[in-house]
Amino acid sequence: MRMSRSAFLAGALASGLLLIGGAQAQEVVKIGAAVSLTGNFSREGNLLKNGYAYWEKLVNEAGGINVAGKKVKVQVIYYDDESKPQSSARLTEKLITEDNVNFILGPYSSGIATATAAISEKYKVITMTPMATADSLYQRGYKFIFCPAPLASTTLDPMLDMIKKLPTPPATVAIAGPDDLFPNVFAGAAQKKAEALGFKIAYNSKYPKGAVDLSSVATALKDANPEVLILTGYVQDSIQLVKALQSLKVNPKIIGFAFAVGIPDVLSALGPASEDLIGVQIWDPAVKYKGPLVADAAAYVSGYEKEFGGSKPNYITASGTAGALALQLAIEKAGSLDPVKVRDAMLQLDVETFFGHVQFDQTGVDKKASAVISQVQGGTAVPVYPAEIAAKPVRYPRKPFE
Amino acid sequence: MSEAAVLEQGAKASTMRPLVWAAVAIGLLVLCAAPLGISSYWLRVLTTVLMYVIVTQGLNVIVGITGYHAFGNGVFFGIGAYACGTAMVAGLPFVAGIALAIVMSAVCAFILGWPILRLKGHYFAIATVALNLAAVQIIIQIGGITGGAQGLALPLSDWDPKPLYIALYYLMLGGAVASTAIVAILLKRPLGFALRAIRDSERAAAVMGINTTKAKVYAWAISAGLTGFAGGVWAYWITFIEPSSAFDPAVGVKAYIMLIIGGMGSILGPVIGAFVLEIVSTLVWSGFLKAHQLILGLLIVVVCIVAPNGIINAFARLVRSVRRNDGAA
Repeated sequence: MRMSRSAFLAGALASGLLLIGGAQAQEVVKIGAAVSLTGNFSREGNLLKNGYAYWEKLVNEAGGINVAGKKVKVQVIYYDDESKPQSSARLTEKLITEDNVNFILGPYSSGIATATAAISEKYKVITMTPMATADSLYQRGYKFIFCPAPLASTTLDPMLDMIKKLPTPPATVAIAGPDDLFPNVFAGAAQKKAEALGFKIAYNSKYPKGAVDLSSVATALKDANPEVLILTGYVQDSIQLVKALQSLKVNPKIIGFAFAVGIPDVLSALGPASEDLIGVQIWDPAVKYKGPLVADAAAYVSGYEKEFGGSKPNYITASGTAGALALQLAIEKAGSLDPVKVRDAMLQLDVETFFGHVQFDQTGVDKKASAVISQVQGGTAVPVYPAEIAAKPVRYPRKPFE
Repeated sequence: MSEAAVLEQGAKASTMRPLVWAAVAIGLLVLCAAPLGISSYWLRVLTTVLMYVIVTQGLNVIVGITGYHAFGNGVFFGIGAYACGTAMVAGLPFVAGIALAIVMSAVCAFILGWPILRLKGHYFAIATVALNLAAVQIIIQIGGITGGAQGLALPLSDWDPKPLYIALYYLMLGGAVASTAIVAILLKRPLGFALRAIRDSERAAAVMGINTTKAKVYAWAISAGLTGFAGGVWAYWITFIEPSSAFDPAVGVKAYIMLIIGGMGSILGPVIGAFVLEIVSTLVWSGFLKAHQLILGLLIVVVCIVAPNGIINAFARLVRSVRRNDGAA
């Protein structure tokens, strides 16, 4: 059932002509976004949608996207993928073939994005996936998918870089986390990075996902006695483990989480024990980058709060806005809506936005994206790395548990 | 179902038969021609409907005909998906992947059936749900070629989207027709009679000399094979599977609702149930972005109240009462 070469060429030519014709006659740039508004990822999906919607509002207030000298307004079509890859795939096909969108803003979750990317890739529609950070998605050889956030395998890199740059750096590192997709990726990547930096791995072990009692892990850590402990788990199990460490008086000089440390769950559950813990997040309102459309993080926070009735933006909304913004910059650079031209322009981008540096490699990964390291100091999270945005120096070694 | 009702249904079936055949023939023709006239989006919706026809027919064999309420039958969907996925990642062609999906699912049901099918009523239903949960953990623990918690990316087809999705549509259509035919044939074979005897009274069936465990295990293996086929095709269609999406309990639950809506134990009930629920939910969804699940839930409740034995039985009742009125007039 393979199409003959000439039939394929004729079809490609015809669709190419249609695309060019469509672009010239176009009144708005149509962008599709199927995100999870219900189901498992509804909270994250709604935040991501807000991030996209905020960009849509800003760009339309500015008159639209500048496509070859003409300002074209943006219309984002939102659908609910119910947190299911099956629904998301179907909606992506609807967005491309029925709603005739020019571009796609991707879903929350790498699993869902992997299902939809297969479709958008086939139709050669550029998909911006700020919240799909599993490395495997970008290793499939796709040409039309881009991620403006750091991937899972590089998220913990700045934490280890920071530790290496300490005045009297520690020598041993322990890694612990539940046996699950992202924790495993974090743990594998952290071990590699730590070894590359010359640390000795004192302990690297997994515990079952959903385990309630982690005192056995804490005991093993007491025996291993590492100077640095990196926890790759989720909020609840990481809190449990820190509590177990506290009761056994295990005191590494640094304890780092693979998530944002400043969240209320950590601060209230651990109280004074949360002091000096460090965490990583792919964006923080304290960053000092500057860029087009959104001047900086402060402008983003105040503008977003005004738009959404006081609710605060976070890394999900910010990466959504930043992903859409990168797409806009590529369209303006290309001066066209043609996906191949926009892709070429995307690969040539080398700019700074309120979110960070944007420079994509051939696989669609932002090489310059880097996470922010924060530390709990005096009951609030303070950015401590990278140095150019640090509000305070990192406190090392941390205050031992009482 | 009482004996009188069964006899009545039999009598009705014989007089209604030409009409039903005509409807089936027209429906099939429309489905065969559909890819020519509908958009890619609706093609995908219809492919999903046909996938659910297969899963629901699979469920019909064990629930509708045998009376064993396998809430967790979706486990075979996942087994099929992973069998096909791992086979293709290992370099086997798609056809081999699908064959393996059917065989693996059926064999798993065959092995698991011997202990689990000795449970009755709620206990069996709960055990099947537990199977579904266990399967997720097993895949994560195996890791390696299954991809574990990271999910499994299937090799991509080098076909263009349109012909690829049309081919997958016809594959699902073929599966839907075959699974419906299997149910129809099964009902006429000794195994089908044995299964219905088990549904009505397992003890009586055993007294009559039916090897009930063997019959149930065969039924579940057939059910699993059909479900596994759907899972295998789905895996290739979606190109990336994870334990949470392949073993999504919602697959089994949705098929269960379709079976209730359509009519348990009937040949065409699952087909009608799948079409009604999937198309209505798609339409409701496009009409109400925010409240679509609420409205869909309400619709299902209404259908269960108005037509508790399924649309097909409600329709048969309606035809009968109209006839009676005609006779009286």
